[in-house]
Amino acid sequence: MSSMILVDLIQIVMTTLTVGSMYALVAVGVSLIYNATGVINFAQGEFVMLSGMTVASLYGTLGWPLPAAVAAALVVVVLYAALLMAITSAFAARISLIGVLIITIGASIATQGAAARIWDSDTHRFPPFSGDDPIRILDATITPQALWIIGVSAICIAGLIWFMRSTITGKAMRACALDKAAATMVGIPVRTTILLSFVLSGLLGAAGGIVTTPLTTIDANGGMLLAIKGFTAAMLGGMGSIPGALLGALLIALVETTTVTFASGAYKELPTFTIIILVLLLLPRGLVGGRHETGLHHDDLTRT
Amino acid sequence: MLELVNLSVSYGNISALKGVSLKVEPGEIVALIGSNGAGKSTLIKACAGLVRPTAGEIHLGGTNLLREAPRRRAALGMAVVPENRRLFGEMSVRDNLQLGAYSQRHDRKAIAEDLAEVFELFPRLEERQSQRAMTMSGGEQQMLAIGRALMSRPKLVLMDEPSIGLAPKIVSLIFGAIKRMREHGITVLLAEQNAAATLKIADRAYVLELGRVTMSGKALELWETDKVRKLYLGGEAA
Repeated sequence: MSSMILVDLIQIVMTTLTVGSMYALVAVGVSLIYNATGVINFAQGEFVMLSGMTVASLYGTLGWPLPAAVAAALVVVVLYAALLMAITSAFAARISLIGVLIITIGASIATQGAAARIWDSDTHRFPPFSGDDPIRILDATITPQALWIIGVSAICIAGLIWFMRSTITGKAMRACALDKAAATMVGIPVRTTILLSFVLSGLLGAAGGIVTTPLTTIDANGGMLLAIKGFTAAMLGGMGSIPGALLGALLIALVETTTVTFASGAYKELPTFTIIILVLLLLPRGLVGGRHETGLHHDDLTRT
Repeated sequence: MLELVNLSVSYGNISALKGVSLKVEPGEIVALIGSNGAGKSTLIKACAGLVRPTAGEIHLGGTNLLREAPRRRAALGMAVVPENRRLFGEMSVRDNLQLGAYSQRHDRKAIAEDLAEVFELFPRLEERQSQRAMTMSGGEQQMLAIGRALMSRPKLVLMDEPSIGLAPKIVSLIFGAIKRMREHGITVLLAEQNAAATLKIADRAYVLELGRVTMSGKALELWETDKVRKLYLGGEAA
């Protein structure tokens, strides 16, 4: 009996880490763009979808070597991120931040439609990187691909945190997030820095799409739910905080995994949506506090 | 060094500067004195590229600043110590200083030298270098704002009310630092309400009232005029 509980526990921890890593990549990306622009990007999941679909067709279907397919997916996502930045900036000159947020929802829906046309509406996947044979820990199992997901996410997020804290370009990004006028005065190119935030955010999502698709599959409409999960995680942790986004993602994954393990898969999405309502009502600044300033500057996207 | 020609700035229907012309020569400290709402901050912001003039010209050296992107000013040799300091509050003192050197970020040797000079000017900043900027006292924050400006190796520093809200002892420390900047060949345009302290260290001064220059001349001579004393001191000098 007690070993059953232990097995459940190991299984929950492993699944939480796997699912949480995926959500963390999206949540950290949401926070990055929010910091740079004040906009919550609901097209964040499209980065994941586009990279997953690209690798699935180039590597899975057309038989390109995996590194070439991955490189192509990264290029696609970087271009898409730049396009998204251009669209949001163009609208930000004329409408409110809430308007820009709705534009990102529109961009997400348009991207889903375009993807369904370029590919189709079916689910896609490609073979896992290190085979399908599960690794056993006691009686719990974990697939090698889950280890890829956890490892790649950990490296990406640790790399991002190092970049933001230790390089002058990363510090310039943080400076832009804190005060764009002051950043301009010391000579930081604000628009280039915002573009960099979009690109880095896109690359995080792309990494997620590449490592998770073999395990979870992807379809043209798969991005939106991920964006909502990422948004929820980022809000729970504290919008704008990278450690907060990480914490929020792991907590949501834990609640989801526990629900699926002890209740039913049918209730999988229930906790996320319950959490987002509770957080928005009771804890709008999240667990670790997020950004102090909520009155964002409308000209953030428009100033050169 | 810096020349403004007939500079006008409006916020909607309200005109904040009405055809201001002034000149700052290399190596000078030029004071810009005036009360609240006289247009001092607007003039500094226009030079920094944060507000767009409705008319007039701003020249830095041979460059027409209105044709340059705001962020290019640091590379052209202009640094700003803005109103309210505008530090990167959640970042460390050291990061703030390093960002001040953004326009010459590839020259590590120059950055290390400048950092040593700023620490020599304000030893307090060296003690506090890993502290977050927002947790420091007002005086320390002002030192950091000046230090950040100096990190870009500027030829010209614009300062917007560096003495505001500070204790007299800290004010004299800040003004002492401004004098030392001039000794190092840095030109300063100093906007201040504190006419007494400012006119003592400035070479020349302009008096700004309701968006217009109403008086200008040698700082000490302006200090002798009754009008300046009455307007900005209410009588007695410090």
